[in-house]
Amino acid sequence: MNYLTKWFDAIQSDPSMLLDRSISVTGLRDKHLGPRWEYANVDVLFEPAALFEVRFGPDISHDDSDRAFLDAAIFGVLDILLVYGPDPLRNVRITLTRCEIDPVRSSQMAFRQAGRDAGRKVMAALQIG
Amino acid sequence: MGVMRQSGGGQFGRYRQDVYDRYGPDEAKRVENEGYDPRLDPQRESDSFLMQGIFWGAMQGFAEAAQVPKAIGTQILPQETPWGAAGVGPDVAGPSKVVTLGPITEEGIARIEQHLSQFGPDPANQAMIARLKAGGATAQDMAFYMHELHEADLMAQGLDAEAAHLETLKWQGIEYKPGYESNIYHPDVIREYSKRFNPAALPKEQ
Repeated sequence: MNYLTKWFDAIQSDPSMLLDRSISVTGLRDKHLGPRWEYANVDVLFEPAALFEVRFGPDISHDDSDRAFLDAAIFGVLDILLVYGPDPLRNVRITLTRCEIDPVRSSQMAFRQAGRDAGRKVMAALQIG
Repeated sequence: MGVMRQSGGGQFGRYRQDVYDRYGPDEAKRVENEGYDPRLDPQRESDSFLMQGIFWGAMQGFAEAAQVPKAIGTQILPQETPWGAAGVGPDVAGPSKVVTLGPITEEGIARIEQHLSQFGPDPANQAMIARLKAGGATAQDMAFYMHELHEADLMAQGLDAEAAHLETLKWQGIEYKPGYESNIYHPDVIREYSKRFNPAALPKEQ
């Protein structure tokens, strides 16, 4: 049995948990790792939706150089939403309303961790877990 | 980066400068590119590692400890303190008298591992430590080693993590700007863990 494939299929096909209200959280990564530092800070709005959807606020830069950071933040949110609760939380609209990029300390991994922080906070607000 | 860095070079800058003054630009380039220290090369009759160890030890008040040679990888090093050898700068304070002029010791690596453990596992740092254990001695290997030892000492003195990090960069003569990590991490490590680095640190060929 290919467990990875089976697990991935379940994430996509299991019924989604439902969000009963809109929730806005801040996801932060600010960590010293010895010779370097990881920093990222995002505000994320979670709203009920029929299907999974991602939007970006009007103040979010869409420069190519920033795009990888934005994608990493969304991946980080998904890391939590899809596996943290008893069922995936997939029917949700995610809007990245603010994205703070530090020119020295930001990296894709910093934004992935900030996205995970946002995901954990919305789960805590919903008392899931 | 040029061979000569007259200001802001910290301990490593003085180390390079000393090699330049004594042996010329070619050997100074080897310091930069290979981590080679002609002052510690036992093949040089007039500059044996023992004499150099005594010279540096006497200069810094550590002559009594500069007598024990120790081999790490392909280098032969005079052992001076638990963390390394070949001189302690007057601007270096701290309980362990951090030595950062190039020699890399097992004790120093152990100290680095202990220091980094407080931040949790990080594959890029683990890869750099693996390089040190394998005898890596490029400029980036040495800078990583130096950075962690000095930062650990500053934090042991009570500086918070951010202040110790920035002060250590300043001490090393590394400007805090996008991509500064390329001075501290080997390009192979940055390539392998590229998502963990600021894009400005990525090797140019990427």
